[in-house]
Amino acid sequence: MSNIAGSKSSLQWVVHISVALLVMLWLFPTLGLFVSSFRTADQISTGGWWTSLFPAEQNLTLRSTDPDDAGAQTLIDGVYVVEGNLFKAGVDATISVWGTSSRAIDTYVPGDTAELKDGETITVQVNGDYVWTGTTEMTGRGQRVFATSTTPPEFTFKNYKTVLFGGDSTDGMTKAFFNTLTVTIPATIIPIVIAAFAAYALAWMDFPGRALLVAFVVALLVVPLQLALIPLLRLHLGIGIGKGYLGVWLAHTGFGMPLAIYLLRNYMVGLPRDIIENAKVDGATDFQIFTKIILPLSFPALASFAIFQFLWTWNDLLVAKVFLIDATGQTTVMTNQIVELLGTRGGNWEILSTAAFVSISVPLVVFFSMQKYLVRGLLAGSVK
Amino acid sequence: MHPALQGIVTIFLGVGGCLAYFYFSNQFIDKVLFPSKGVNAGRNINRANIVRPWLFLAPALFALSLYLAYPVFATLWYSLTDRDKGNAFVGLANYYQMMDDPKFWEALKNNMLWLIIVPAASTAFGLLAAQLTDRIGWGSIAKSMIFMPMAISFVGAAVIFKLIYDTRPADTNQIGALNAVWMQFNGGVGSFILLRALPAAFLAFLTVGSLWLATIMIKGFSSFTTILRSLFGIVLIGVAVSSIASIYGLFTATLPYGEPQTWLTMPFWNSILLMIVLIWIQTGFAMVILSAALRGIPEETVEAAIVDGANPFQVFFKIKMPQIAGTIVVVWTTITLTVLKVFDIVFAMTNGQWETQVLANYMFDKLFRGNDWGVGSAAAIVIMLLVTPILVWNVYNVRKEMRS
Amino acid sequence: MYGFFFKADVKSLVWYSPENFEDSDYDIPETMEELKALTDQIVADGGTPWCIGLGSGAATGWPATDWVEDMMLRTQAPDVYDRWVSNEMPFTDPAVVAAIEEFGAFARVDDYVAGGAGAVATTDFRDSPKGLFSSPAQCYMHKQASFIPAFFPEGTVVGEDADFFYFPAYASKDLGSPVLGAGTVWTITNDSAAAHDLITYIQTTEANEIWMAKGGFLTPHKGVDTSKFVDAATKKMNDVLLAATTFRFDGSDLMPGGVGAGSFWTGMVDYTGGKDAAEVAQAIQDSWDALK
Repeated sequence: MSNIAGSKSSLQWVVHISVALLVMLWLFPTLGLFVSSFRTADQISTGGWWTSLFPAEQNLTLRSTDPDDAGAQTLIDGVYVVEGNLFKAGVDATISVWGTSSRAIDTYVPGDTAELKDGETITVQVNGDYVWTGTTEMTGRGQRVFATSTTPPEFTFKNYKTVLFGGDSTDGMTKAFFNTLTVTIPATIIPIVIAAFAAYALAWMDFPGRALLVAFVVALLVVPLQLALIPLLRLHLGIGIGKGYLGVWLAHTGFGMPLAIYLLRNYMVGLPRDIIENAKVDGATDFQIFTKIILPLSFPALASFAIFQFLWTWNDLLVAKVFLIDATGQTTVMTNQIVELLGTRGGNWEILSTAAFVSISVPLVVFFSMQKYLVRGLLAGSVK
Repeated sequence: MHPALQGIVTIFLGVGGCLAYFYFSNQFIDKVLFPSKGVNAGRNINRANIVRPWLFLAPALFALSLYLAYPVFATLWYSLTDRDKGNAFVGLANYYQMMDDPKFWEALKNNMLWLIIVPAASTAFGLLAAQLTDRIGWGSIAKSMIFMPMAISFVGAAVIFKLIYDTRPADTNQIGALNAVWMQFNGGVGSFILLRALPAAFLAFLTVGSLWLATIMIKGFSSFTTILRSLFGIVLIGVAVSSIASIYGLFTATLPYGEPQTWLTMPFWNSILLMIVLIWIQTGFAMVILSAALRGIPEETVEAAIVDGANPFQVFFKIKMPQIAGTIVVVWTTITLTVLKVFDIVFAMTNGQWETQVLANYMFDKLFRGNDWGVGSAAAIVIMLLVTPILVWNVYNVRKEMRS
Repeated sequence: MYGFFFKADVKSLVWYSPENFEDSDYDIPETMEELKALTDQIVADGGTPWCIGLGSGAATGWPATDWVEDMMLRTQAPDVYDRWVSNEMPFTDPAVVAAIEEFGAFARVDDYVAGGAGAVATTDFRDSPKGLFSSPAQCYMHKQASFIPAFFPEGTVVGEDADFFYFPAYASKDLGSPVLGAGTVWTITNDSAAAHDLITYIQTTEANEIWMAKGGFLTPHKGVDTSKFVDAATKKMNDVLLAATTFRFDGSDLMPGGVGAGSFWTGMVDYTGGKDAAEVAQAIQDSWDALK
């Protein structure tokens, strides 16, 4: 194709670069989420995720040891001394400027000695070592030091532990994960069975009204499900199903039916006529033809719809909110959990990004492993 | 019963029940009702074959009618009744109440904006991506990456983009990419080029393009009816006019350089930023479909054009575009349907505040926060009305197809 | 029917960092006039006085309703407050609009609020107090109810790293020391001897002091021994409560849901975004009328 269009090799490079830019632009958002889920809250506040691989400079409020702690204060040559390191054990940071008052956090450089009130002094070194001296015994809390320090990049799995195994219902996604699985799997399998039979009838059986029914299905494909919420909720409440798993399975089955019938019918119509004709000549009943010939041959279409429906029900929020989730909080799905987290933990990006990534990880795995079928499903009937 | 166990039982009951139903009903017809042996064998077989399709269709028809067809009428009925008055028929009172609500008009206006921008942008980017990726060796990997956002839930995408749009106070480092980029602008030459000149060039291109398309609409495009043509023509002229006005505004506006912006609270721009989320997701869909359509174009037509001396642009616009016009329409209408239903993105990111309200979220708000079924159903009917042209178009096409 | 408070919460508190105040030599303001003067003083010294955050997901705007209710108690007599929350007095009454604008006098001035007036509605209410402890300090004062220490940075000790003072009243208006709060009101719904016994018991100082020692408990009982509180901070909060000359329950909780948890919240978000106070009040009143 490229040589037909007469493109020169330099144009190829332009194409390569533009595609690369396009791909990077499209990957950037998801990558941001993924990287943020491995950073701690402090690290996130130091800067965007694209800086996460580089040492980050931040303004910290550190405190020396309390002089009242046992063994903290010693008397050396008539001077009371408290020594130590401002950073927690294991932290490897360097200080660039520091100060002792919240008004002026950058008055001194490492190595300087600050004069405090009551004849006390404090000296801070680059690595956070400090010496705090006083002419009389020091009491009260440790001395505050405001240090602008550079900390090396730090990544952690702690967020995933909190989100997956935390046990805390507001952060924990494990329960929501299993709930979502429970919603999705029956809601994917059952529509297939019902729709396959209907699709076969619409594809290979000749009866009056067939064209009308196909048009009916196509029309229903377009109906927005917002219209169906209140009447069906009332119906469910009225016949005693109430809000729960059975309700949401039935709802997803109903809402997924037009697409299922449409996809499967389109595929079945394309099956070779001869096989079916031969089977009829051999005396097979319609039911036998369906189960022994059509179903196995239709496997690609069945897989396509299954992937579609799986992704749709996994990622759904509205149907779950209306038909499943009640006030007890026992029946939450992952999408709902994320919306709750946006409200309760809106500023805690380390938790939010981890939870969001956990919720999109299963669809991503399904997507990458079954992409072929997903694409085929989209194309069925779309290309004219 | 534990839900997982309930799920497994339901699967077995559901699948097994269906199969049992189909098997036994078929047996019933073939052996009991219309036995294919005996005196009236021929007549019975015929009768069995007349009844059988309805047997196959029965469960599906039941599900479709109950879950999709009945609700349309039920919602229409609810929109004409008032729950507080004991479900009495109140005529169009709910509609009047809804039209008195400024939030409804805001939602409608925003939906119009979404309907114009998102399908156009997604299709344009999709076409661009399809054309480019088809030419290179690693095209399928690139397509995968661009298509991937379709697997992500709208809520997940909302979180992803909320991180990008995040705002921190002025003297701290920005963690949101958009603000980090914004803070780099300081009013100098780069700012002028990127924030005024380039957008102005794009808007000028848009103006010219819209006017050109409008002239095509008015001259006639075989598959559109006159009403649709004039509608599109008016919309396109509106786009052209607002583009020209925007170009003027671009050069006269003073931009707040160096201050991090709370993007999601800026009226009009926040809607655009929300649209970007949907465009990010739907471009992959458009790209996949258009790529298949492009590959379906017979090579001879392209070859012949090149032999006749056409340059790549002419090849694209005069040969390729007309042949994939049908697919472009399908992509456009499908994305339009998604846009009208979009609820999660607005709900999760702004919940309709700061003038971002859309009809689907408005309906949800009225139904479940305000418990006003009348107005909520009225809003749902409005969504249905907006969707009806596409419904008619699709049914018309499928009937044409079935007749041929 | 009568009821009384057993377990209360106090909202009229301003949180600050004592060490930061010490660094800059600021005194705790005892009157609203002094508070406003301190606000200007901090601006003159180059700092930002207030951290205000209304963000709360779908509930965004509720902290502003606490501000407006507190300002209403400090500018009008308590019976005006009562008539306001029952809608005997319309939301559009000048007294209400004035209370909203008193809040705006703090929240709508860019120099007074960390991040500027535009950040008020988008800053999450759990994030905004962190500005008190950042380096350099993003703000010096944060008005919030007694639950907020749960959202201070890890390791913040109330009483040492963070402390609070009573959100003062105007010295010139002679309205005493009003306190806005919430809590649990006990009453008898099913009359029985046992119910009466329980009510009598929890009215004793002994019952109060048991819960006081466990923490997370404030009481309006003037006879308790306040040294029995589990920590000094809770005792100080209770002192604020006991010193109150007027106590009123949170107004937005008393209003019907569609207003107090709906249009009042969104109205305040619109107000901080620049909308006119009278317009906002009109919109809230309209929504209240629609509910009747």
